[in-house]
Amino acid sequence: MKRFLPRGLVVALVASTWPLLSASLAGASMPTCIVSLSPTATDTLFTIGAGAQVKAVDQDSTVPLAAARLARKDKINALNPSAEAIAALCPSPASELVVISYNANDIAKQLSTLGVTVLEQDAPSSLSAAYAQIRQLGLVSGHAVKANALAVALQARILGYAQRMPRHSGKVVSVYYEISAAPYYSLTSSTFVGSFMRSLGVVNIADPENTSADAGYPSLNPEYIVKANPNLILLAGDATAAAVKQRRGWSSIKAVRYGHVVVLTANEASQWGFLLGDLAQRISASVIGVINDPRVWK
Amino acid sequence: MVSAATVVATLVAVVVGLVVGPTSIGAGAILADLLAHVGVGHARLNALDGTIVWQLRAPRMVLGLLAGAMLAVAGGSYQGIFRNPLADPYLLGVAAGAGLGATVAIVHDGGAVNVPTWTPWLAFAGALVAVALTWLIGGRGPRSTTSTLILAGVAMAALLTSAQTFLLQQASAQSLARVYIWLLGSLASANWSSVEVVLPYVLLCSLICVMAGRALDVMSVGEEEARALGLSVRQVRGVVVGAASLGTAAVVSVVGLIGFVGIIVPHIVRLLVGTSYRRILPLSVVFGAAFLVLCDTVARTVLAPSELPLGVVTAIIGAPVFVIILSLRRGVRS
Amino acid sequence: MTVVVEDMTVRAGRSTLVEDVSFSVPAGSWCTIIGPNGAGKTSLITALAGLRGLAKGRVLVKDLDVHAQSERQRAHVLAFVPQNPTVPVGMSLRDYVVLGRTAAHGVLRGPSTADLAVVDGVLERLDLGAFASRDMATLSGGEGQRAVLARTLAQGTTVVFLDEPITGLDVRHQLDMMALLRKEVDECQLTVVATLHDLTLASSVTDQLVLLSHGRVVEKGPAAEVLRRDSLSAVYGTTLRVFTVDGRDVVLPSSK
Repeated sequence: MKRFLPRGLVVALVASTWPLLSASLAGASMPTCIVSLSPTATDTLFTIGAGAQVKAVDQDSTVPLAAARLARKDKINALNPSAEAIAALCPSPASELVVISYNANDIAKQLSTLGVTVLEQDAPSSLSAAYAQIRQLGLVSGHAVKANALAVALQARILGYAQRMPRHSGKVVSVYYEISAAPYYSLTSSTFVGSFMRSLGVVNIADPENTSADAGYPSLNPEYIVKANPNLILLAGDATAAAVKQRRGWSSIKAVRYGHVVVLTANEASQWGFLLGDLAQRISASVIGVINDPRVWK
Repeated sequence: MVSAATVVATLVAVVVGLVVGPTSIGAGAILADLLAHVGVGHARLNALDGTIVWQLRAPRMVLGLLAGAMLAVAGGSYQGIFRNPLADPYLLGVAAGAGLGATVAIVHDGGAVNVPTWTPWLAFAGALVAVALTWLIGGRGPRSTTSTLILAGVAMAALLTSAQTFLLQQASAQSLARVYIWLLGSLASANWSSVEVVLPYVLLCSLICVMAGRALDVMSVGEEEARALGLSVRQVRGVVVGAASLGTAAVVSVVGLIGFVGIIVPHIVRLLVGTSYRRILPLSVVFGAAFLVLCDTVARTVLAPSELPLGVVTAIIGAPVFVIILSLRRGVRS
Repeated sequence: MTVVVEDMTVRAGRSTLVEDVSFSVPAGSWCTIIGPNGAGKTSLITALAGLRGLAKGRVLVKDLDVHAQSERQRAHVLAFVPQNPTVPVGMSLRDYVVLGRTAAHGVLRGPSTADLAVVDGVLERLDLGAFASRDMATLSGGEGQRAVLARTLAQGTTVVFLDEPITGLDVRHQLDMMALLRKEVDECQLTVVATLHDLTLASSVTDQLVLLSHGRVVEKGPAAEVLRRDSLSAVYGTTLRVFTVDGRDVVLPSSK
């Protein structure tokens, strides 16, 4: 299963949750052995300086490189983990922290039974929630100060892109964000990447297709995409711009005709952490490119 | 002889289920701990090992015994009722119904850490509704036969599976992966409360199936002749299908769709002890229990710290075992 | 009268298979249903045995309405043998005959020693003792047919319905089977209703014939009389003649 969900843009401080988290986690001893079954958490942990405590990660945690080495070692499938074996990865349950984004096999309960601390971080539905997760990881790993500082800096950077966005009335940038092709999975504004794009003032063609069942990641009919005629296509999956042009009927799409098909690198597209700043930069640059292209607005 | 062998196999499975695992804990130490629990000696496991053995492995092993026993005896009963060697416990839509129920629950909360706690109940309800509908369509009325029932089951399964596919098509890729894992079945989330939930269903339903062995033997001469011999075929069919489906639904809702046990275990037993359901069914209970626990031991150890889906292991181990026994039996006959 | 059929009508969907059939069979006698293919013989006999519902009329066996009984109650008063009995592979002949006792002991309990004694008695009576442990699937056609008869007799009823009991048997085994049944009728007061194709054989063992055509009774009465009526040729759609050879009636198609 290809992992594709970028998981956390942070644009606002969540002042209200901060003391709550501090209170609940104060007094807990700092874990010396962290197992991360969430690629997002893995990236964050390494970025905030908790890398030395991370002893094992799931097979999709490929960023940064140090994590990729761990991922290859144990090949943990986060969708089907063994609680007993995960516990056995660390010398003692008391010093162990396991971060999960999915409670597969009811592992949270089983690990708790063994005395292991479990932190659940799901895909946040808002940027503020994603931001809170970075701080939460800082708190539980003993790197609260650095996590907080980095989160604030990230927030400022991302907020900056939205503020510097040129506003031109009448020029509506419509975007199709492709997570995978055939079926065409996209994301809506109810996701954190989507909400960042909305903060740039773009229209997301997937929004009308949002249903309760897809959690903000709907699959789109290709005919619908062609008809929606986006003037910007962001490719987070395997596809290349050339491949998109080859798709039947797609050459009529404005974004394809005027070359506004942007391939996001795998890391940008699939990691949130602090690479999210890079993703935000790429997306805002692409949007500006469309706004400044007179052919699009003829 | 075969009975003794299956009982031994079950004992081996129980021991293996408790002793084998990523954490190495000696069989002797576990036995001593067990004895200490009942007041003999004082050699206790340390707290962590004790928790691993009695809170993780033991409920999982027991759930494996229950699930294996139920699926195998249900499969054997279905084969008897339908006089069809390809019948398995999922024939009348249990799997499709449970799958749809679980899919609704898993997809409902998209990317959340926890799937809703009502997932097993929805799977259970889905399975029962599916079988009930199948029965209403093909099992009632004076002209219903096992054939109409099977056909109704096929249609129901197709209908529910397409509903499930539709739902999955709407769902995120993340939900797809989760549903997929559920469909392949696993005992990994077992705990004592899941055992408590399943236990009464398995005890009652497998007992009913085993008691129906003689009736199924009578049915081996066909429905019409069985009726002429004094068997109320419709009544037997209702009771056995009801019990087998109810037990299967309970098991499936907790452990997912573990395939192959229900079809292969009764056949292996049949090859060993002959065609009488009075022997096949009780031995399927025992052999199914042992078989599933041994498969689960493989599922939870070979890829540690990940697990293999149990349905994969049952097929990988079950198919060759079946082929070997089949060829050995042929050798004996010729 | 042991078997009384009153205005029996059997339907399947909109087509009528048996219509307004009435006849009766006294205890300890043999009644054979004859008629061409498609006349409704099998529908009639399965309905007699209570395995098929009636659209009209009723069937009384020893004063009990067959269709008002449960399967088990029915199996206490009458036994039925279908045209092609299912041969259960892997079952021993003795276990197969024990199935005849199902109604006696019920399916939740095993056969009692009395049940097994009945079975062994029947096996001996039909000279099947030596085959008792043989797999049903390995028996020859003649042996298999006798096994079916043994199961039927083991049921212990005084009324037996048989649908084409000699299908697929060679001449000797056909005669053997008929002789065995006749013996049960004469010596044990068994009441038999059977369908048969072989008119010569039917006339030689039967007390009474019922000629069926398109689901209706055309003739009924003693064999010697029914075979000599003109309607016989008409029903079969070919000219049939009856000769007497060694004091027995032989039915042959006319050479013209």
